[in-house]
Amino acid sequence: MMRAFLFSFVAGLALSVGLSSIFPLPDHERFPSSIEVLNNGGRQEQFLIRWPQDRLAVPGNPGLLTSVADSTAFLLSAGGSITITELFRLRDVAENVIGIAARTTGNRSGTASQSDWVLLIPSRGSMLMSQRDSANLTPLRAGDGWMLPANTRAFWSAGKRYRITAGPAPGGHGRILRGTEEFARLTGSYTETWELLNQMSDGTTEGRILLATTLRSK
Amino acid sequence: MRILVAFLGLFAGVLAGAMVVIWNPSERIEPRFSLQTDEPTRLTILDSVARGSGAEPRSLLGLGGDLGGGFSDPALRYARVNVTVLKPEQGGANALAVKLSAVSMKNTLFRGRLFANSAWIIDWPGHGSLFLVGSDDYWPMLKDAAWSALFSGAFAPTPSVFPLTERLQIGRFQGVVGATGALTDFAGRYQEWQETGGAAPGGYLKLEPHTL
Repeated sequence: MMRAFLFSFVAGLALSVGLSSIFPLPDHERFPSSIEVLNNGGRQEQFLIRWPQDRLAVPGNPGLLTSVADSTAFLLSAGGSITITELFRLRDVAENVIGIAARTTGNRSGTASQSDWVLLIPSRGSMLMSQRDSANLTPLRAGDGWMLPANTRAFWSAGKRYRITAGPAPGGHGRILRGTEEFARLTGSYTETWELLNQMSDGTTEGRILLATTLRSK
Repeated sequence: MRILVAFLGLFAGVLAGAMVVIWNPSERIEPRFSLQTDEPTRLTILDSVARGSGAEPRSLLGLGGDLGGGFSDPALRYARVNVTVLKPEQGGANALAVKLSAVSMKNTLFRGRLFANSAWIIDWPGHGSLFLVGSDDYWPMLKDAAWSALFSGAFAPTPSVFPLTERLQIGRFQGVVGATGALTDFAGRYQEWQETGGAAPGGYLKLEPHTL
């Protein structure tokens, strides 16, 4: 009787420890990366965001923040300065949704704003990027609320394609500060470009944001 | 009678095995992470909204519990976005923070690893911003939830404040990786604590300036 108990006890112990090693924990879906290897070393990869469909809405609104653009952006103001964070789905050049991106824009000094990006591709890692903008991209007052500059006619009056990045890296590029996992041992620069695809009669717009990154080993 | 005893033995064995996995011996030999400064800057989460995979063991095990409707895109199934207002405990202006995180692909119950990888931007309007990367360790929360399941039948951590950065995930940096504006020279490390059971998501971060 004792032998039966001991044998089944050891079997049960082995079963649960064994199960712990094969338990199907979450895994991220990964699409093939579209990376172009450069002649002089390094690699180039483009990401894109389509607006308005790639704007990510978050239900609810933290009490001290103002919700902008149907809860896809949140604004905090203090002492005459404002900062806004916009949330997006991130796509590869084949238009697959591969990650999440957050763009935080603030007006610190002068007329142009400063923007910081965090890109998270669950299957590959994250990239943290920073740039000086070529214009002031903080939201504009519209009655009681706020309006994003890309949604105004005035912003697109001079053209349908704008390079947003104006520094601080040489050549007017933005700086990739750090990457994790697959991007951990890489450094580099990037540019952000906005393209207008369509402007509706009510003034709202459709377009895309292109993030072109150039990375090389540290 | 013999079958009943064997069944009891099997049940006891499975339970003992589950205990061994939850109180995992390998978890205890992994490197600990702690801040060295006695009084680091503490940033309290005043309010937060989230969407995506939940910030608790059930979600990290892939058993549901999505926040704000979750994401339908296959690549984002186990990712989360948090928009948060942080208040410095020492006083000063509030900061707007966004945290993006995803379940780590190196998780294994056998080795006691249940991590999520995170990246933060914390921005003080008109002042500057900090960039943080790290990994959140949900194993202590899983242990607590398993204990709760045993006694109350509900697989959920008890209302408490859990350290999310008790262990370092091997090969990952835990700290401030960049800064802009007036904070340009800031470098350091951070720890995060998450509050469970409250009406609203809560917790706090501690920032320790790096000393060379």
